Amino acid sequence: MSFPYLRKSASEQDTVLIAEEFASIIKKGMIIILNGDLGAGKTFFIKQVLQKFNVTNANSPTFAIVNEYIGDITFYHFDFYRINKESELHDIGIEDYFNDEQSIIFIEWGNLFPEVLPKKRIQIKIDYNDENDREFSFIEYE
Amino acid sequence: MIVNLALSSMNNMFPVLAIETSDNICGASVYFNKEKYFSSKIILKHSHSEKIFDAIDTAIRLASIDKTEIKSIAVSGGPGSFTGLRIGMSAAKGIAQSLSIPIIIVPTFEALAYQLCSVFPENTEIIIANKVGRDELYFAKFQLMSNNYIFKEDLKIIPLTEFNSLSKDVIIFGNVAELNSGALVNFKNISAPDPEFIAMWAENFGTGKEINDIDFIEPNYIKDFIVKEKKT
Repeated sequence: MSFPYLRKSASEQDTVLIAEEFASIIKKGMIIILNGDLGAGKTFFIKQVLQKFNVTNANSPTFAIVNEYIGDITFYHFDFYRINKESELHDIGIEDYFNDEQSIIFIEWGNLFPEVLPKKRIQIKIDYNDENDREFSFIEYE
Repeated sequence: MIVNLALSSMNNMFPVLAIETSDNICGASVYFNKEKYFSSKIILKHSHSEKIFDAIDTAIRLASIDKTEIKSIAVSGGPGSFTGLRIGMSAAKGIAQSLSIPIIIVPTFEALAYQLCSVFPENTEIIIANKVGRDELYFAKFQLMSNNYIFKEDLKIIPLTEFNSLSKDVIIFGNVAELNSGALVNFKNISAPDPEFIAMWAENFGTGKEINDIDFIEPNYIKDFIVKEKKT
């Protein structure tokens, strides 16, 4: 997979394959943003990626704001959906998570607070038309 | 008369329990004076919350005092790791409340500059720079004196991209020091003061800074303050 990268998914099985392909190129220190409407499949995609690292308890952090999973690598999984203002992210110490370059960070709804996001990141946008028609676009920012 | 009162006030502050958790060091010191202090220090990532009370207990045990003999607490107040600062401040507040003793919040970078005064010749200029997330850093420049320091550039947050241009031909301390290519020397492993220097800073500069009403004190999360100010 090289960026920018565009893939269509016509089924859940297609999405699993895209997630597996993406899992094969991610490394410690990466910050990965997932944007897309409710129901687009952001959490499902992350769950599939994390399974490749022996994380089987991944779940939506919408209410917890951040989940931590320890598999072959440590993962932090954020969801900005319920965040009302940027200061709430500093109140939970988001810089400390960003400083941990031995982990991989996923952020759902990162587009809600773009000013908080590090410059160097991978951004995934999921466009959802219907259950059998999704488009995944991957962009790398340096 | 004022001086005598100040000295008398400071004499009532010792032994002070100093706590440092702002960066890689998780440490505590029971400090009587420059010739008599007992420190305990642990360097282990992600362990501050687990180890700080062990470090405090060890320092108290080494000092052979009862904890009720501690007269004040000096705590490293930042800038630094959000989590680390919260751990140190929570420990300080808990102990201060239970013993009814005051807290002195010690500015972390200044305590490190003060520590370095004893190492470098007078007038040496140094920079301290520690990470804030991926793209920014806490930055301050000091001129070291024999037993003091002068700010050459005030503590601020700068983008990582400006780091090189602001810090040529100087000695740099901090966990981003190695990212600067123009420095004379980089000390990337020295990014926080030792706990006894938290106490020494309080001894030298803490007169009148004792806080008895501890409910609302919090560490110096500069990043947080900037955001809050911007939004209001």
